[in-house]
Amino acid sequence: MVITVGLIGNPNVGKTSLFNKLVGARQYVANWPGVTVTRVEGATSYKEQTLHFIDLPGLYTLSATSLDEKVTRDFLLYSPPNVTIVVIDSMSPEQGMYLLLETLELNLNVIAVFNAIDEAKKNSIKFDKSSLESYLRVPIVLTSAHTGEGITELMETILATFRKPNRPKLLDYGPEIESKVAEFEQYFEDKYNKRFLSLKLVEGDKFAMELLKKDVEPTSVLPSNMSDLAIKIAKRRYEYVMNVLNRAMSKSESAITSMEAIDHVFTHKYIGIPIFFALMYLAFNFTFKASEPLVGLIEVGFQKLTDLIGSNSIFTSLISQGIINGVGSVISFIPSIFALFFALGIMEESGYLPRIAFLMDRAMYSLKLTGRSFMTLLLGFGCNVSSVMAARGLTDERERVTTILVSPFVSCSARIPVYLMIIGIAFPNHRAEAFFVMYLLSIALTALSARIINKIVMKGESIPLVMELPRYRFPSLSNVATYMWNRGKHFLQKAGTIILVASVIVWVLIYFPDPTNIENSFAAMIGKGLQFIFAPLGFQWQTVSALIFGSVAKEIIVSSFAQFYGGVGNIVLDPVTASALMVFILGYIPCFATLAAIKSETNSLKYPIISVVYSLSISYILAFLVSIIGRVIV
Amino acid sequence: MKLSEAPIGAQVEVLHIEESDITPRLRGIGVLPGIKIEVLKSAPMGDPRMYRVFNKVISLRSSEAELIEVQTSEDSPLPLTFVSPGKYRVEHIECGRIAWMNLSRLGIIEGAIVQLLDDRRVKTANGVYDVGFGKLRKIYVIPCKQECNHEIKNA
Ligand SMILES: Nc1nc2c(ncn2[C@@H]2O[C@H](COP(=O)(O)OP(=O)(O)OP(=O)(O)O)[C@@H](O)[C@H]2O)c(=O)[nH]1
Ligand SMILES: [Mg+2]
Repeated sequence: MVITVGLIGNPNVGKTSLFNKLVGARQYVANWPGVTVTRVEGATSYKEQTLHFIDLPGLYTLSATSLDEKVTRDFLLYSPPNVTIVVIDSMSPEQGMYLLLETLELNLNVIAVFNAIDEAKKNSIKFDKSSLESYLRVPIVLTSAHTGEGITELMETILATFRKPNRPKLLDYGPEIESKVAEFEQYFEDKYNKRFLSLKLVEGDKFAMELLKKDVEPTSVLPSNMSDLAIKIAKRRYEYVMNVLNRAMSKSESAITSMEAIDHVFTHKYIGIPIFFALMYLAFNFTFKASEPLVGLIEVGFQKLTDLIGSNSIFTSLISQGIINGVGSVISFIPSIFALFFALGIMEESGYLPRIAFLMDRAMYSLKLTGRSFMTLLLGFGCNVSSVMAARGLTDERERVTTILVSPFVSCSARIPVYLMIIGIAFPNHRAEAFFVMYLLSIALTALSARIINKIVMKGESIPLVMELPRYRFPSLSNVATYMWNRGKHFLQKAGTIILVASVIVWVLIYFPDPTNIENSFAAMIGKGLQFIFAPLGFQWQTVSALIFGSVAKEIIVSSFAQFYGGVGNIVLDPVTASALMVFILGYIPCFATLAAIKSETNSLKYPIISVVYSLSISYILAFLVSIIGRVIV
Repeated sequence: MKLSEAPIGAQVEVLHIEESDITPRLRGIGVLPGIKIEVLKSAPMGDPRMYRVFNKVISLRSSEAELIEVQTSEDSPLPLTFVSPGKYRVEHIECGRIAWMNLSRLGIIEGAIVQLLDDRRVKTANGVYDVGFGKLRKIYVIPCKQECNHEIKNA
């Protein structure tokens, strides 16, 4: 017997944290609203039953507007689970209970979970469970996904609710609304939940209008005072919620916490933004400095190993050049990538990220974007695929597509090895500075692209932004470590798969047809054949070939360079060409994974093609400018 | 008054909301007639601003806050620049240490009773002063009830 259990609730209340606790998973958790954007499933067994959990994106109301919210609504409507858990934040239960009342209209088996009870206790907020149960007529469980409190009880409650279904209808909205609801039920097919949809129709929900029977014209049936009715319904729910909480919750006067004092500085009118940039500088500096000694050590280790094996036969050459030198040159930069994820993890877990969205919102006006998309793009410093996915949380379709299209210009962590390699060769004395400049350039190029895309591809108005700012949480070391490992291990996997395969292919192209002279290799032929395109930028054939191979994944540029020159240490690049090369690499083409994400998220081939064409042209132009200006100066 | 015009620090009550694309979400968060909203702070250049609805903090752009009609709650502290002449009790003063010391020397201090005169000068227990718009804006007061119906006496 399989019991399906859906987890819904407001954004950022801890649905995924609970899911992880319940099924022992390690799904992405962070302290900002809109982390989960797709349904995630996982199973566990309890008392000989299989519990199949489905974690869903958060929402405030079932009248969904953004893509991620629609995922949740469609799930509840079209594949209702056996048991539905509505997760409510104990620190701000009102909005969660509103959603609970809305969900109860769906005629499902519902359990209400008051999560983050540990934080509530610290703030002397107390709930009287039995009176909550008697007013809401659903089972109540108080949980903490951090301490594990209430998890076993929740499992028990799921089994009990499944065995003895409870489907309470709670609210009567008064004669005016109830009569409308009854009247509207005839407009929907029998296969739907009629009461729910007609109530949504009275609320003016667009989706309910779409589901009307074919021959029903929305304009002819809908009442003229619809927005009044919608407000009456919402007020009725909130009045009920406030009444219940008056009786079932006690809290003491809240004192100003140290976190509020910190927030005063972080979101300060004048110094907030300078502090943000200072923190960014610190983060990238940390990425660079914290990992430097380890990177050097690993590099030397791999170098020793290659020397030891030698490359006299075809076999030893494959091992030492193709695999150890090719893959090792990328692996040695992995500490930097982990360091960056450590810094990003602190930013995401503490609750600072949405504050940046708040600070930067005004600056995004001119790009016809919101602070929310700024925040989404910041995630791209980790991996561009994350920001393409997270764009689902953006309500406005134009903003979502623009954000997706500019995402590749945010310098993802896969580009770190490439920059570090080139910087190490061409700017040995200004490494940290050059590294930071690349990040500034990346931000500038992203902004410029948003401007251009808004002008050419999509024309639009400025859009609304309603965003919740979650309370600060002290990021625990274990949380940040889990985050770092989750994101960073992706690179280890990549090194063992795509980078390994690509390195071997590059080795083949170098080794044949003439192992004695690389100038006669296939790789050289490819590079020389296309070199004329890059001649204005001053690129050698090695660079051209590396760029072509690197279009699959940026790290392969490093691996190819290492093989062409027989080790990173032997590469020569003058500062001007190196600068042009880095600028070109910053934008030239989104990696395959990102292109695939762009295609699936926009559901069209048009956008990935636009992305490739646009990014190739803009980075060529910029790199060309850099090489001209560079040659004038030097 | 529109929510976008409500002074920072004030607590307001929603009267009416103009329908737009985001009203369903606002309703879900609890922005509804009769519900109290606290104006917390503003981002650089005055827009967007943070508001507290129940215990959730949300950020709203002025273009959206404009659609929400509000009135100040009875017990909400307001800056002295926002109130009509009359007697008030000082609730809190939002400024740095030095400005606070200067104000307290004039008798403007948390808990003190002050009177705003028709010419926008302030009468305190220490005398009558012209404190200037910039500082008036930082002094949050609530209207006096019976307890201060007597004259403010000069010390
Ligand atoms: N103190 C405490 N923190 C919690 C608890 N549950 C979750 N959190 C924190 O709350 C934040 C949000 O948790 P998530 O599990 O990502 O929330 P979610 O509901 O899945 O959020 P979305 O996917 O964005 O809708 C994270 O920072 C968690 O560490 C809890 O029980 N106690
Ligand atoms: Mg989640």
